[in-house]
Amino acid sequence: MRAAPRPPDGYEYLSRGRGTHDIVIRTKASKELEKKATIEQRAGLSDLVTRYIKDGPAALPPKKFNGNEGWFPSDKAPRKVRLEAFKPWQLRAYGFCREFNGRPTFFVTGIDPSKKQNRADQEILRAAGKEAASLNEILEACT
Amino acid sequence: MALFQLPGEEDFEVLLAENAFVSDVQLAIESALAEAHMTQASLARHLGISEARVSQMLSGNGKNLQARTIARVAHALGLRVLIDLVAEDSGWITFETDDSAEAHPFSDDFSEWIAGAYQLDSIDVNDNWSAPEAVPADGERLVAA
Repeated sequence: MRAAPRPPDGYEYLSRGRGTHDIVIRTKASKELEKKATIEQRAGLSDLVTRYIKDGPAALPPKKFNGNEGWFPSDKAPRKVRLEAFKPWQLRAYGFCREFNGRPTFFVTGIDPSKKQNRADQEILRAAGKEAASLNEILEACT
Repeated sequence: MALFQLPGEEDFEVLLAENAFVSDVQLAIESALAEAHMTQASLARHLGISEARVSQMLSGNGKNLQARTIARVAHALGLRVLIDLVAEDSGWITFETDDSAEAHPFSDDFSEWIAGAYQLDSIDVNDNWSAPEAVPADGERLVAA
């Protein structure tokens, strides 16, 4: 039996096969969370991601998950991804959801641990979107 | 260890429990609002607070989600709050209609369900029933949805 594909280089499984959704995180984002996010921020994210793993986005309070942070690379691109964000207190975790290894999988492509709650840092958002689009191309090429 | 918890962070699980409770309350309010076809603006008017404050209540860490505020929200929706303290990872908060407080006998379904929850052959919940001391070790939900 062939082993299931691993996430692309620079990405790792955070959770697999525990609920309705799997989570893959960019290693760089994971390290950033460890170094820059406070314990309060990480606990808030932990609550939301755990709910997502178990039952998907419908299990999250609507204001703590934005299902449309914009399309990348653009809304007219043939292979576009819709960036989404977990929004616990004073933190944003950007990424997108697509099928991987036969399961709906959320790929975390960027983290914004700045303490601004109301407005997203547009530079970080764009970088996370660009990374999402580029990762999606790699995943498409593998399928 | 929980997701995103670092070694030695003993307070993490306390913070996680706080966040999980706040999320449960926010979800319950959002669901009740949707069911009542009530907007945030309308809720704000009922509560006599700004819409921004309602929005703040339903997002972030819920610092202003005090027990009294939750009761006022429920009342504005014609509901009351029902809270159960249950085994960790099995609890949730629900809003019930005000008239559900009226006494009524337990149904047979409930008798069967509660017997199953406590791993008993059978139990008559209408006959001065009291919960056995032992609770299910597997964290099975003890509260009917």
